[in-house]
Amino acid sequence: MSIASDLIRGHTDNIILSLLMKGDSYGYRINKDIMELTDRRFEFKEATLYTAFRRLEQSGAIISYWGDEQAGARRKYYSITDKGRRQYIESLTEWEKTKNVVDRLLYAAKHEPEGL
Amino acid sequence: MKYTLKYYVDSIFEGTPDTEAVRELHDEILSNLEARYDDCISGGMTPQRAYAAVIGTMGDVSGLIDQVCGSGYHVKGSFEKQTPFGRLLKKYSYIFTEKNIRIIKRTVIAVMWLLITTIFLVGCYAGYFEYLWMIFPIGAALNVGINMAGNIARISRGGDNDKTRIKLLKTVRGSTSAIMWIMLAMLYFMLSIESDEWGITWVIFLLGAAVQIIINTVFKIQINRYKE
Repeated sequence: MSIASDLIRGHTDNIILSLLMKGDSYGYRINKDIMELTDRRFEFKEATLYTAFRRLEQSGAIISYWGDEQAGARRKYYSITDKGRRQYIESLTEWEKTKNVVDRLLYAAKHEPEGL
Repeated sequence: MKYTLKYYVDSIFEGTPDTEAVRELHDEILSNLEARYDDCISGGMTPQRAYAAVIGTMGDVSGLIDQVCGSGYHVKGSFEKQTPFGRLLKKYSYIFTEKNIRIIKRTVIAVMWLLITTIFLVGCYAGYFEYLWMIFPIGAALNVGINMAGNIARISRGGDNDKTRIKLLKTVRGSTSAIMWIMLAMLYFMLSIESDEWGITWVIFLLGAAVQIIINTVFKIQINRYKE
């Protein structure tokens, strides 16, 4: 993982919600989707993922259910709730605003008119 | 190599209590590792490399497992957070089987009463009866306390969930009330003997009733936290 994963970590919950907006999913598949979306540059550690699932489920943003796979261990699926959808939409607005502010601050030197 | 994943996950969960929340996390982790393993194999990896790759993605789940073990699926309080004392209990957990708890409880109570009687008899012989009778109500209160400790140990073994929490609260409520009344009766006799005003000292029991109502309310509020 060459990119700064600590910058992403603050968005863990919203990234999971974003992927669940596409449909119900389970731990490994969410990570697989993330790998595909990032050209294999990023994925969550399992521990991070389960901790986030727990947090999101407790806050009511997602719910879980067991799949009916015949072979292997039972698989836990997650589904986004209406509350989760609202949280996701809000997070997008918030991100747009934050992104804008951080951009302005980080590129402050570039924007400064010369000779001042 | 795939079946060794189960051993790996089992080993992570070694020593955890056998509760539904713990089993769920165990199964969830295992199923996801298996899915990843299958993917690695179909991607052309050797079983050994696939196994190493799968294990490498785990990260540290010990904190998460502690969370799940410590407070059930819904984090609601701090009854069983891991303290140094808690770790010590875990180490000597073989002592605290249900049978042993009962034996220990009985031993402690028997030894306590024998000690109390000895102290009382020796004290009376030395001429301190005036105060020494108090040792019996105090003993009764301790008896209640020891019973409560035994019950708490027994109930806690049933895992941590809303039902056991309610049971624990009820046990503590019962013991608290009992100890309160014993102490009150003792106080009543002390005051009455001291002042010889038997006509009025009994009103202390009205205060007792008030305290009892407050105790009930406090526990009721706590119990309702764990009821749907």
